Amino acid sequence: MGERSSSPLAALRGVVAGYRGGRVLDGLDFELAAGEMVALIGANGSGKTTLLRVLAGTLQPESGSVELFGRPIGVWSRRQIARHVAVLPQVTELPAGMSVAEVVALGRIPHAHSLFGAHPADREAVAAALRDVDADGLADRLVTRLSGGERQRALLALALSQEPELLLLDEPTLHLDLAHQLALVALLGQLRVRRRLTVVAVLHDLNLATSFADRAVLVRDGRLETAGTRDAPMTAAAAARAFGVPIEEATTVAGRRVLVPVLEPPRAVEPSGASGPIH
Amino acid sequence: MRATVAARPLVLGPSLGRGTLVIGVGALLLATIAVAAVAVGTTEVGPADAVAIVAHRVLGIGSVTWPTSAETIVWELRLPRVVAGIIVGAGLACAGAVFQAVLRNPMADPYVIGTAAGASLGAVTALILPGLLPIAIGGAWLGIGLVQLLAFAGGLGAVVVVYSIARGHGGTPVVTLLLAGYAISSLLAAGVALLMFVSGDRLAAVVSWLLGSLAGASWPRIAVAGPLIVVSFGLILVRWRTLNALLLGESQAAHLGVDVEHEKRVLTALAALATSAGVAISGTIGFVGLVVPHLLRLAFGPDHRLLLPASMVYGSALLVAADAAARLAGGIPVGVVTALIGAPFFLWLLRRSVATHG
Repeated sequence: MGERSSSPLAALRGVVAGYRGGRVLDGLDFELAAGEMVALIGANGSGKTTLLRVLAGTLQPESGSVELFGRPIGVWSRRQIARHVAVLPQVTELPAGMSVAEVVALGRIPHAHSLFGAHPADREAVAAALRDVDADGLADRLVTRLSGGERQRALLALALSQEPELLLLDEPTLHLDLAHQLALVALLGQLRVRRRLTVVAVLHDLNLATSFADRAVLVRDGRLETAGTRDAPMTAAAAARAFGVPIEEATTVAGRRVLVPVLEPPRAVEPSGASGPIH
Repeated sequence: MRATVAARPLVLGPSLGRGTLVIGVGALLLATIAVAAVAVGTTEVGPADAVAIVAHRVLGIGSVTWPTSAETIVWELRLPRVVAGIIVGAGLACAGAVFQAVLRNPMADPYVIGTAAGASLGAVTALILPGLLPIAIGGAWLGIGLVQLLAFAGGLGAVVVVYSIARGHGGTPVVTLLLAGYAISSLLAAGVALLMFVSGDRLAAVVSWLLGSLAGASWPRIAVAGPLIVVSFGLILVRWRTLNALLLGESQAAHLGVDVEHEKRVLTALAALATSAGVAISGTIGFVGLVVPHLLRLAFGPDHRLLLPASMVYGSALLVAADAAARLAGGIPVGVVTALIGAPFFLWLLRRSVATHG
């Protein structure tokens, strides 16, 4: 879709969107610069997934404007969008009887060149995608025989084989253990550089969100607030507002700032603002 | 980052060799069964003669070395049944593969959203109405009787009704489609039952149609239904990528560039068209459309580039074989035979796959 280094990759203005049950996004504004890495945070049902769907073009806003790659999203066909925007879904039932390579090759569907054949570029893209998520060894494995972490890497490879410029991830760390969560976030950081990706990810772990993203954006009441950037990290107050639970800020012995949800009843806790090393 | 090349070639789907093998073996099997089906019967015609007669009639080659009766039996009676078996079997199996993918339900068959019930009501109405009302319904046009016409229209009409009921604002949810299909089928089945109750001496004809049979196959009927089925095939076949994308679910298919609601509508219409055209000449033959694509998926994986053509070839082979067996067994309904052959085989494969994967 051409070179546009200055204009935003995506721009949403006054977007109102939702489902038959009601409005989810209510006059939302959002700008996404090329190469940016953004974490979406917010309570369940706040509209994070809805925002991803609007960005992916699979949900039409009731009003407001959505621009993708500098032009109104309506001018792109579904297929054109799919060649530039990939979505790692929250849950996907993988087709029984298919190998990892076969599933990853499904990402080539929007790029199909001929009626029945496969193009050499397809093979190359699938190989590169598998390599980039370090899943070469899984190529011939049946998708039904994957562990949670392997499954998530296979799905990521599927998204990468679309060769997108914009990668949208809906809770990519769901069902992953701590080590796999960290590995996935580190991998996304590498891929972003290597593939010049723009990444928007819904994340629930606040500390993961802050360490992963250039910018954490809070979805609340159908609108967006910037919750933190690399220069001005998310505050405990902003996080507490987002989730409606008491959250404290602390500094670890190593000097890292972390956000900690308070598990005990609030009155049993030290007065807020008292940040000190965790012992 | 693209400098290194994978050491081993990646297998992105059924290889050309494997696909050719699966289809080739199927085609060979179908050819063998077809020749045998033309040759066997109460009047034996040697396989060589059977092939020679067909070659003579179609290509005009070879000299006549057989009795005229053999030519009549082969050309007028048995071959139409075999050809009808090929197109109906292929149509049902292919439509089954499409419905299983679109509805994301392994239990889906070509009849699941109303085609069978609609076609049945149409056919039964046509079979019974002339007896109930003292009206003369115009005779057959090119051998296409009222039964075939109403069966075809009933099958397609039922799907249109089911689809429009299930269609909502945000699309057509698969579960609603299945439930609406079930409800409409039940309603139409009640109509069929009512007509059977008042059918009197036409009951035997009604039951025979409902059980499915290729005995009524004729060249004119094939000439009308055949092209409909073949065109549906072609248009379904070029959508193999869409069906593959749907393996990941509707929302992910949309993210892969598929216009899901539009494609679902088109695929449903094409599969319903192939089914209704088939049912119009054969009655409601069960099991082929459910079992064949299912078996092939278990055996060769869910990639529709192979699954669709394989379903056609093996669906044809199964139905032609079942019809020949039905004919040899004294004319029992072919639907009974497909179930008798298909069900135990299906169960065996199901057990085996549970044993391996479960």
